[in-house]
Amino acid sequence: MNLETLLILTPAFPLLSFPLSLFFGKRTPGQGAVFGILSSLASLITSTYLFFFAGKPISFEKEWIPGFTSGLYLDELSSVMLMIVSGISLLVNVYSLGYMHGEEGLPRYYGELSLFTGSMLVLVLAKDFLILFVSWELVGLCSYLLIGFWYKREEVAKAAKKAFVVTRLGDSFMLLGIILMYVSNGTLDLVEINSHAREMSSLLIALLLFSGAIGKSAQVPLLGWLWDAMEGPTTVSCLIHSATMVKAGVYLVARLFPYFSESGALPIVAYFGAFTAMVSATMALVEWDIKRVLAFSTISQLGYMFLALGVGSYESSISHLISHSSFKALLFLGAGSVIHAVGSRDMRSMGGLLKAMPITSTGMLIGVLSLSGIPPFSGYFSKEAVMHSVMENGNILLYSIGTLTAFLTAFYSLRMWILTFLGPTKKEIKESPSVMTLPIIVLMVSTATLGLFIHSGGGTPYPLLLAIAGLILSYRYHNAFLRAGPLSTLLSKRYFLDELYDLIGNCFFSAGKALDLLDRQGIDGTVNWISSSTLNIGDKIRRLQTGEIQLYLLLIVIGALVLLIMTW
Amino acid sequence: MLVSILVWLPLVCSPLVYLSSKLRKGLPRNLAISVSLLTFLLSLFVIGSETHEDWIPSLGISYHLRVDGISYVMVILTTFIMLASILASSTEIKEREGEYYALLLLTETGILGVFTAVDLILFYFFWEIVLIPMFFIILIWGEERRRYAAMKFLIYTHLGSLLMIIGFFYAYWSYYDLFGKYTFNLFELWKIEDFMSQSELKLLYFLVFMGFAVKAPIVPLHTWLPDAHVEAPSPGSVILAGLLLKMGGYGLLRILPTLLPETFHEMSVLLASLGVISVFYSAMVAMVQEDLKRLIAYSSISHMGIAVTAIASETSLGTKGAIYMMFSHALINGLMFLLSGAYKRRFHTREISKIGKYEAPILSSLLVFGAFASSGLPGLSGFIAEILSFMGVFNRWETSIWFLVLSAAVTAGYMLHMVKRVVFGEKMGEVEDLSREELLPLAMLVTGILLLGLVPSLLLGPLEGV
Repeated sequence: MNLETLLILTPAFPLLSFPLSLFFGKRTPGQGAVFGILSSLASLITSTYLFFFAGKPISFEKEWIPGFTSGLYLDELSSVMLMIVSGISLLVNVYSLGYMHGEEGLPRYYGELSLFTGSMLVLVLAKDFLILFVSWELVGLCSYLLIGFWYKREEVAKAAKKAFVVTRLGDSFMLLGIILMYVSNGTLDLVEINSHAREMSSLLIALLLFSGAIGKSAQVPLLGWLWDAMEGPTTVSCLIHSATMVKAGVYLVARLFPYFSESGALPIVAYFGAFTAMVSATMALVEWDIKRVLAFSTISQLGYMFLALGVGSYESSISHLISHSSFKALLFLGAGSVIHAVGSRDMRSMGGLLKAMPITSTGMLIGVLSLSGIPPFSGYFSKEAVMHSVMENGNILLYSIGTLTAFLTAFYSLRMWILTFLGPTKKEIKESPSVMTLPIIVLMVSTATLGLFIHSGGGTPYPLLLAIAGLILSYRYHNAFLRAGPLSTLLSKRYFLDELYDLIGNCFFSAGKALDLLDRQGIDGTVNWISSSTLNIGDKIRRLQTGEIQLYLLLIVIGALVLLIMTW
Repeated sequence: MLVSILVWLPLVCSPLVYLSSKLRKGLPRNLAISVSLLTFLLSLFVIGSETHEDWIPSLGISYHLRVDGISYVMVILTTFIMLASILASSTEIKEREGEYYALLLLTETGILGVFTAVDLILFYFFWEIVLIPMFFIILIWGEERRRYAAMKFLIYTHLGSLLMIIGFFYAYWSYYDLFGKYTFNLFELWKIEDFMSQSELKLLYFLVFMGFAVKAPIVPLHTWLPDAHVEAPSPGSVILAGLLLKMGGYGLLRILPTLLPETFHEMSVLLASLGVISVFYSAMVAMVQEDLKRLIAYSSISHMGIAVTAIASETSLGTKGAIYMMFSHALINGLMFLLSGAYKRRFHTREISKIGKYEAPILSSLLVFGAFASSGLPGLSGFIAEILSFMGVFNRWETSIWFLVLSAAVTAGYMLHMVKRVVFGEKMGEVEDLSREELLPLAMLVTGILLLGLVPSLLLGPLEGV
């Protein structure tokens, strides 16, 4: 089998599993789980093979829309992404056996998981903007469907819609960027664009493309959908956060890195990233919902990745992406295990679970330490690499934001762990079944060892020192920020961002109401007025036809006189 | 020759269908299905066919039909949508079947004629044929306010057509004055443009434009549409949205620029502006509709706005995009109209707040599918239509109407808002899901949407060289 076939097969497995699971899932073991597990396993095997044996970039091209060549392309970056996506998808599928056991609509669930995985695999393999955009939107669709999996709940409906519409807003700017790219350069081929980055560069196009990345990767100001997306099943959140959705934005900028750096958009990317990293970290300080804490931390870590890209360090950004995938999946699966046992996402109903859930609590602790950037876990090395490159770049402001965020991160992540696992026991519970703990163990191992492969660059001790300070302070005063008066209100209201979104939505709605009124009364009113007045005139004219000969004669005489006068 | 058979076949069969109702109930339906299926199969082979005979030579009127790439695509759209609507009729039309199916076939002849006629009088003849059966379909089989809607539809679009025929005659006399010859041939008449004054050309443009703009429709000439679409029986709405609007689009794309190429170019910025206004205005109005069918009707105007803007761009990509949009829109809105009919049959209302209380998995899955298709989701036909249209538009105007792309987000906004209220939320129980009979036409449309979304060369192939 040649490499090109493998390249096509990698996303084809899960894409094929989607209809299989949807239509035949009911009659198979695990209600479709078998398709999900086997297809992601197959993808993992082919992508591992490609990673080790591809050697040089491979591509595959075909005309899809007549006049445009589209294709798949594999290089180092995409082969790493392939492994992450298919690997985490496999773990999530296995974990779902326990977590989603007994739920209604499982064939739909597994089918959509597969489509999600398949679309993301296509996305990271896209050679051109058409395929990229198609898979980009399909990823959005899947997140909508999966966040909305429990469709009977009211909040779920709102969250799913918000996730799609907010990211769609970013996407439409991105589409504009893509079209302008085609209109001004005549090509949509990513490889070609990168190799001619200098001639083709345009700041406007780069920023438009970046808008798409902002939406997908939940950066300021299009970040509000991600914490609402926590209404979906935790398995889905895990997939969204560590593999299939939010990484797409970072991947896009990384994929077009030469283009972004030539067009001069990188500093803007850096500031967006740094700002988002800090803002979302502050929101996590006062949050009670365990999944939302993780959501804020994802946004914040994605901010780090953009920061790294923005200061020109492609490698450290990708390192952080990889290590984040591992520890964030670990944290989500751990949180899922807790939620599964406790039956709530509120950390106030948790506490004291340390003894009852030894594997989960150890896994979560490793995840927390990795997220906080404590050695020897992967997060330390990748965050160190990011901060090293920021320092080399020499921007003090960006560096201090990054360092401060490291402090906040350590603070809120340990707070989450303490609230969940320490303190008095509130409920009698048991450790989750082994289909759920096994993926957690796998991720524990990878989080603990991935650091070996990351070249951190070494250098500044400040982020580490501040992170340790954060941990210590958090241990003593983990609810300190809740007592901070107006600040705590501001934070727990999430800077009133949700209100802002609602306000914008309501403005649109009111404008729609006004236009509807204009349509019914104004435009259609005019139409009806014209027709009724025509009828009136017709009526009056009809009255003239009285049938009285004298009147007709009189009118004829008058008419003749008028004519005479006029011609005279 | 083939094109003649194709165009007249439905009309010839129409009296038979009517008479068959005297024999046995259900027979008209089966006959109509066979005829429309035959027409559809025939239409696949009609590309390149042409018929040219003298009709009234002394007046320069000829019987001239021709099927080139653009016409071919529109013809296939017509026969396909007709077949789907006839298949979808049995669930809604229980009375006076004979008349109903006969009228549908008559409509089909009219529309096929519009898309193939080269002679303007012939074009007008077919154009007006369509109006009469549609009027009766709304009037007889429509809903509560059917009388008002039918009259409005008839008078409004007829007024537009009157202006158009005055325009045609104006061109005809001008041609006679200049060249001493009578002709209604579209590919002859354009020669007058070089000899007429600016104001004369503008007047001629305006007259012909009005006919098409009312039909397309372009805001603010659209208010007949929501009423007609809402009051018509759902298969009638499918034909209205799927085919009648396309007559307007086809006219703007085909007749107007062929007749007045220079003037069309001069007016194209104005036309594009009207198109963009249509897109956003109707999207905003759609957002606040409480009636599902009315929402879909406004989304129709919005999507046609994209087609109009793309037509105005006068680029090859834009033209292809506009045709793709018209085809795709017919499939997607056809699907949505049939679904809204299915909701109405179950809940006896189409109010969005009331139809979501019960579960019907297939029905709601199709609604979600339709909503995403309408929002231009990649992999479905609407995406190819949008991206080609946008490329055409931006090819010509670069960033000056950059906000056109935001329509994708706005459409997703109102469509998903509707889905949220219908599909999501607490359920009180189950309701009977789609029957086999209802599913067949829906499956046809879904297949079309998927095929055109995945294999764009199917439609772009015949349009090669446009």
